[in-house]
Amino acid sequence: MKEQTPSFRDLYLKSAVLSNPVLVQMVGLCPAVAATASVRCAVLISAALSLDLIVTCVLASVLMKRIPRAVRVALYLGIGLALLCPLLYFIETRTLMNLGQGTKVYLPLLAVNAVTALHCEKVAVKKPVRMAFLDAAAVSLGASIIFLIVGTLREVLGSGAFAGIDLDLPFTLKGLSLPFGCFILFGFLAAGLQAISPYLRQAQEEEPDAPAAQPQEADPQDDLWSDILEAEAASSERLAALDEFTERLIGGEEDAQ
Amino acid sequence: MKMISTLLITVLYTVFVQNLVMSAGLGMSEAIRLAAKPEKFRSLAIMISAFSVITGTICGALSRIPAIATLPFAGRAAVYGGVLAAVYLIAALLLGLLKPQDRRLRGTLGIAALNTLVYAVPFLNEFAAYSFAESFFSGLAAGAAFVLAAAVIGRGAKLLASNSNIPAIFRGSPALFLYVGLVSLGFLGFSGTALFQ
Amino acid sequence: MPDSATKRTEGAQKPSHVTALRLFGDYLLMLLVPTVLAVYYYGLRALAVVGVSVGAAVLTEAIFSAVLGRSYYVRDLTSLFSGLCIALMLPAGVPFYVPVAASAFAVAAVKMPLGGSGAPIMPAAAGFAFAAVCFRTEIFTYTLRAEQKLLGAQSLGALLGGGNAMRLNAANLMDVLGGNVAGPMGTGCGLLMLACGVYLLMRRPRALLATAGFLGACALWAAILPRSNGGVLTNIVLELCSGSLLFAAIFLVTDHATLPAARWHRVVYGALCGVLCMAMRRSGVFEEPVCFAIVLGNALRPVLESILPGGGQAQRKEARA
Repeated sequence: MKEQTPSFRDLYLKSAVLSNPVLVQMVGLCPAVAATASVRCAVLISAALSLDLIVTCVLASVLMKRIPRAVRVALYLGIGLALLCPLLYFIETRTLMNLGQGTKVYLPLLAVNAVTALHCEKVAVKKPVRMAFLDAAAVSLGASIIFLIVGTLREVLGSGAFAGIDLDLPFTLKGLSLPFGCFILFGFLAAGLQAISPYLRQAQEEEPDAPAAQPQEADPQDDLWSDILEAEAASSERLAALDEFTERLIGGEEDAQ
Repeated sequence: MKMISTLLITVLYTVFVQNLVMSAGLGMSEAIRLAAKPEKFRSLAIMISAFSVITGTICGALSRIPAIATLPFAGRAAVYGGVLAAVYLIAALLLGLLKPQDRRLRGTLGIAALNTLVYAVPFLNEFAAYSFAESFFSGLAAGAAFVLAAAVIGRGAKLLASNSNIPAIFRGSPALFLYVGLVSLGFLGFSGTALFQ
Repeated sequence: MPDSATKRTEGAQKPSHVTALRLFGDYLLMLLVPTVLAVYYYGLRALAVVGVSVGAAVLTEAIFSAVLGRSYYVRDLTSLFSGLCIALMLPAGVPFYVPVAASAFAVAAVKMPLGGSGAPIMPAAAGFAFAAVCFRTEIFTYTLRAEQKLLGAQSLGALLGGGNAMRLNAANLMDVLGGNVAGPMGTGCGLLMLACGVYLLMRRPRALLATAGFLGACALWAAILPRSNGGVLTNIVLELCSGSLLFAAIFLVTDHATLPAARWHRVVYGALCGVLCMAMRRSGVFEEPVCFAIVLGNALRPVLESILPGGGQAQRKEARA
């Protein structure tokens, strides 16, 4: 496969920001719920996710191109377990870190996370090793940044502390430390990303040799997004009719009932 | 009678009180990805339930062996993961022998088996100290919990997509995140706490 | 009406001839009555809570609109309605940051991003649920002017939660129905809620189908699975009059954007909300989980509509009416 290798900056902008794994592709949400409960968890899970993602992607790119898909996905789980269980064992027995029940469960669960499976299948097994590594690094960086931001917000707002240090806030919104708070914050962050992404895209297009193809719509088996994307496209067409609709909404027509 | 009510409570607990997908985010990525495919719900429910039951039962049996019960948590996690991988490989092999042409079904099989929801079931059974019968039913309910969550998300996504009043920057994944968060908030009324503390 | 417009009514976009202004104007008018009662029972403190809650909702909306660069949202009155609803479901002595958080959440996280007055989840219910999770003790403590109440600071919900009942007689039944028990400041008076129901019957009779389903399911549940050892009737009256249940039946279940289109779907939807609410009252930690039940019911409503037969035809009929 002859292909121009893009620079890390381009790749980062694309895989980590514009199609951020968590906020845009909505994968890896299960570890995200655990990771973002506090800053410490965010650091730990981000590190574990990055390790798992990079190692699995590189191994997949080097060794697994000939192996059938069904066996490959099981191997990703095996590699994940081989990496994460020793890590968990080390943390449990050799350090004084007291993991909550949540983190303890979610850490091995990272072995079956959707980010790894998605990027191994879509990028790593189709591209050269260097590309697989860069993609995995960019994606894990993109996810980690989100984890850290949301982890900080949830810990500060939800429990009034930062990295375990009490901040003495007058009141806290305990709800944000529960899983639903994580999704609400993701919603706002995703909206923020959506607001700035046109500018980022513009900046990227000004780069002369930015590669055009996204590794996204490659796999016919994975057309699960198409319905949502179609619906989205249809709804953005209606944006034009927005003002008219509002006019009618607040106009003086009669209540049917 | 008491047995039946205990099992019923186990099922209701897994589907509603702590809907595994909505309350803990287990298998949330898969639920969102499959939400737009209602025609797959039945096969998914069956597969997830089957994998949860088989993996949960084998892991439950293994965890009663003293050598495994005394392992540190990380060791048990490795054992459970290994069981899941083995169960999945056997299922994929059987499917390959029985229906070699069906690529789509094989793809669904991968998603149904290797997700955080199925892998979490053995841990849940362990933490809740479920008996064999209870863990059987909690496994069955895991599939129902997944399909309920996927159906809610799928219908919600359609509603949001057809609503032209949503501000442009919230269209798509931001609105869906907020919607999922609000549904998760709704489920909280049953319990008031998170699944894993 | 052209056919394309009829088709579009499927989903969140309700027929646009139902004007949000008129609809929420009606609701605001009805809400004035419990507000006056709240002021009668709790004095100016109640008015202050209402003011803070409504102010927070409108301010959040203004800020949000300014950030997004659009200005027309405030006119549809939903923010006023949400703020007022939330305030009336709170106890009068609540610290002011609770209504601020609840109203701000309702507007910023539900109403504005999910499509204004057509949001598929009810902002007021979600705002209250959020506040209930965040400030559980503050929201379910009813100590202001408790000495004048029938049971002191104990609300009917707490009474039932503890497995107790009281013997209803002519004297205390009037207290219970008149709202002279500790509880949310604007929702206790069953008689007023009945009056609001009658007004709604004149304005939007078909919306009351959901109310009927809701109350029917709650009453049936209370009769079959009582929480106390009082008589059947006692249990039903106490369950229905406790917390914000009647208020939710009139104001939250009948919300236009989240109501199914077909008539009997409305009954089923109401019954579903009722069952969820009563199940949550039994299993959950919240004294009054009706808002959680409404949020969950809102989320299950589109699923319900897709499962139940007969949706399409009725929807078309509705759109033509």
